[in-house]
Amino acid sequence: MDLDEAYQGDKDFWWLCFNGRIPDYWISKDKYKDYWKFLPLFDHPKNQHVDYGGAVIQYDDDFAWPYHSTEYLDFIKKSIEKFQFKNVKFKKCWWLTYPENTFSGLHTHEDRGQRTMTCVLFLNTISVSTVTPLNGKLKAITMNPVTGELVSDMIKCIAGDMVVMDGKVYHGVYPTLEERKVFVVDFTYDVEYD
Amino acid sequence: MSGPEFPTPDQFLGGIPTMFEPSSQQLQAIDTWVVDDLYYPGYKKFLKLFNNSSERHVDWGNGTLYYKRGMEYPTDIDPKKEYLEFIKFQLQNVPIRVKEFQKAWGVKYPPGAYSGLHCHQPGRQLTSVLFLDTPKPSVAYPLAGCLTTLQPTPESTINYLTHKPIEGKMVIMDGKVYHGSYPALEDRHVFVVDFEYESVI
Repeated sequence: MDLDEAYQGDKDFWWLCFNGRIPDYWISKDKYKDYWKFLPLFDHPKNQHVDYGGAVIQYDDDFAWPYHSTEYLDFIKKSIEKFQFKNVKFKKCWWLTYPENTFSGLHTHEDRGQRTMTCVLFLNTISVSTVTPLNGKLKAITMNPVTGELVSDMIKCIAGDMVVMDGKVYHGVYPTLEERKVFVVDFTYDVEYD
Repeated sequence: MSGPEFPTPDQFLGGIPTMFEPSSQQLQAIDTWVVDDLYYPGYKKFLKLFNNSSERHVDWGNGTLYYKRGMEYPTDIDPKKEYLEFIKFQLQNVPIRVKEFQKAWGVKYPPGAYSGLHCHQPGRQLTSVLFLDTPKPSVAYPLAGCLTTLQPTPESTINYLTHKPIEGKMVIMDGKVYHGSYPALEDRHVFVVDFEYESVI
């Protein structure tokens, strides 16, 4: 078979992610049906500030986990089991409200050589419009480490949808035309080649 | 990564017949580049495009595109195509041969307008962005109106750059480089020209 013909571009990247065969730049998606449990957090935050782009960030002291139950953290770990990562440990968490016309600039969650992953859980659903299709969507630019090509992903804001990604993945939020809420958790992890 | 399926790093990506060999070709094709900090002194003439264009439409991020029919080069503004020659001259040290002009257009970003991240594919294309005005600096929103570029590097990293809009400055990039612009705080204008090119490596 002709090599160019066999090459499948982005499809290979998503195949690698789906099957947990990629240690860098990966993106994984799942659904968490109990997402609504996080909504009361927005009513009585211990700390908050306005981020660049206008989103309101709220968090407990030291970005600590705000519950006794670790059910959600365990759910995330189970969701990414296919990658066979080692030492997956909670790092910090926060929750954000994006008022109308606010956004989040492109950024990564890299931390001086320590592997980090970030998990974004959408807490409400943003309407989809053909006139303003970018409205509040999460945009991710990552890399297929096998080919070196950039891979672009556009993620709709649907309540309960969860996106977990390697800390090296660039991501941001397009300006939203309606209020948008998310809950974010970061973990550290190791990759062990046996 | 551990486990019986991946006994060694070399075998980590084994058993993927549709990808492994083609990837070696593709890897060689990742020769992306960004040339920035260029200055074109004749930039002001292209502001006429926003009055003289025959076509226009509003893009997804609410910027308005202005262009001639078929996105032809505006020869009424630059009859000798000096700007196209300027672009080619600036790329003489990049290992490419600039081929056919593809299209040209202007974009006006009103306050709050932005450009979503995109690249210019398929094939070998290059795109040039000429800033036509200088927005006032903002302490609260320092990235307002900035062009961003994300470029894959041979070291398997992503090179992320922001380019402040300053009138007359321009950025030229390979079509595989993702780019977009942050929401503007005041009206800003750019002039964009795309070419085909071929690698000379």
